Amino acid sequence: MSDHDLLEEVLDSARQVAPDALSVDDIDRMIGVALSGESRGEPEVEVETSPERGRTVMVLAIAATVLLSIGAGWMLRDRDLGSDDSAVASSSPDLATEARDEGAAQTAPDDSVALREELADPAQPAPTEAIEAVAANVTHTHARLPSGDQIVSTSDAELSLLSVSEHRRVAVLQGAVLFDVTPLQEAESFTVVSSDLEVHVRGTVFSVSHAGEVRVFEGRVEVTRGDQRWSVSAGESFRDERLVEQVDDGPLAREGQAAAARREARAEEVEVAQVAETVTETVTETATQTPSSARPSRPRPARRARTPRVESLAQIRARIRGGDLSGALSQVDLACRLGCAPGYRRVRADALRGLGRFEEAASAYDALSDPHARYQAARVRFGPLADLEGAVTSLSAVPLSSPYAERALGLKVRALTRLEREAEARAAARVYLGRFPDGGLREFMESIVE
Amino acid sequence: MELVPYKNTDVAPDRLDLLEAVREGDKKALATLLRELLPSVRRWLFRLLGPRPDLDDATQDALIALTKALPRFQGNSKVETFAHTVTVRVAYRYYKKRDREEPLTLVPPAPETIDPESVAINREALRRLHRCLERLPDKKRIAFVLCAVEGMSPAEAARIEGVTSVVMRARLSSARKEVTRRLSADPYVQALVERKARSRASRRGGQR
Repeated sequence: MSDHDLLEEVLDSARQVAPDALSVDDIDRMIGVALSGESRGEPEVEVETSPERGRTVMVLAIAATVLLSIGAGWMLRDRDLGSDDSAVASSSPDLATEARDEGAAQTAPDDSVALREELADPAQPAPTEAIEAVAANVTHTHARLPSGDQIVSTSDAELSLLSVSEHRRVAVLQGAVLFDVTPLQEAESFTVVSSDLEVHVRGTVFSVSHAGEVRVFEGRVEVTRGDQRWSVSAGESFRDERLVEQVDDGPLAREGQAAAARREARAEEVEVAQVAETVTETVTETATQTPSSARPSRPRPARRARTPRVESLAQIRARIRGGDLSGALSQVDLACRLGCAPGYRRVRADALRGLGRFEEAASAYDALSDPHARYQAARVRFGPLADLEGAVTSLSAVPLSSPYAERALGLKVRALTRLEREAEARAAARVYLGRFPDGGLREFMESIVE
Repeated sequence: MELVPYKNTDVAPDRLDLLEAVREGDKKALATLLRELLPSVRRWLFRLLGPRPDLDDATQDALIALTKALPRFQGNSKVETFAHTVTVRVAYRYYKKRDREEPLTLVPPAPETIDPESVAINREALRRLHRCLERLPDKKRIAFVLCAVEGMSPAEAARIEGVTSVVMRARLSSARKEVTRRLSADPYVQALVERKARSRASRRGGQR
């Protein structure tokens, strides 16, 4: 459907809606109020009813402008010549306003533009009122869907629930929204639509902004744009078609981290409950096997296991950057007691590679099964492991639509050449030249094809 | 004060006496005229302002404004055009209030002859449209409502706004582009329109 048709359809719908009809009593009351000349405290509406009246209004307007100019000039003269006290008194409210403005801007960086616009808008009643209104908007809005999914949105956010069935679909029209999605059943799905992105989840914590930024705090999401697809893991952000490491700021970062921590605590509770159940079962079994002469031991309620604090993904990554690879690996193992999110698995693979455990690293990358991980696996196999066949296998899983396709094809051609599988190398080189005619490896690929 | 005779070029003959009486300060005649205009005034305001909780207040303000303005009406245009001009001025004032609060509204049950799904779709489409219009400058918003929603020609809308036809066309063109851009970026609107098309197709199928 073209944009023109869309507009016409919306207009057609809008024209069919009529306001609620007034009752006869309401009509009588309104006309009575109007005739009684009661003013509702609003200025009188000016409508030019005759040219003479228009001219009169214009003359009055010119006269008022001249008087105002004279008055303003007189006031400025007074201000220049006035005492310091009067200058301070006149500027104090402005200073106070600026201070509050800065405060509002610090607490809500996203609202600063709206704040400036509201302050610049002459239609707004007074700057002080405008600031208070924006400051009140700083708080985020919390909501819960019938399915139990929790939503936290920035004050300027607009979202639409397109579907609330098993296949839930939410559109982020403006602002940023954090989703804490309950783990989904097999037949369920949860999709967030924002600008031209679609984010598919399977029970995780992540935020989506209308500007197209996706931040994952726990679990993993899949981002699609057209036929392109990216996998974003916990601790990563997707922005401008790139995966970047998440920084600890942003409108909903604190809420996202808190939600991820809550999930982790819930998972621990589940684990403890499972342990308690096992202990109880074991004790009960022992009690039934005990001879009647022996005193049966009373099963004690299981105490909450003391679990060491697990570091966040960002902290573990910081360990890797700092060279503490063993520490990072032990932290990942600790975090993966119940099951490992892809973000942790990726960090584990990185740590293994850094520690020189290449075979394990390659397997760990392959297990992640996203294009970037496959490419990393191939690099490890091609380089330190010298497993060219393995590298080609890993590279075959990198789709041509992925951002790593060019590099993957380059590596594949080199691996195939070394394996002396020339026909396959030529075919891969042709694919490269067809797909990336201006690529950096063009000359190399042309030499292979020739 | 000497009364200037009406030009009476656009005023319907049956209203001449009524207007004459209004000019002379006849409150009964004014009440009759207001009662005639009230449904139109309310509809215009609804289209200009969108679904807002203060529509009744705006209607009351428009009636008060008309009570003061009608005795000065010189008969240069149709009474409806004059009333529309006054209503637009009142709408401008309400745009400045920019009340963001949208309380939940009780939608009366639709008559059995009307498909309730269509009613819901139309109301949501109107709400979405006005959400786009709220982001336009007031003058462009008025131009869009008068021409695109009310179906007036730019020349007619220009008379109401007191500008030239060229200015009105420029405002309308700019507003149309902006509204189209915003609506096409709203996936909910697209879903609504698709739903509407499906609903229409199923009704046609049912009729056959």
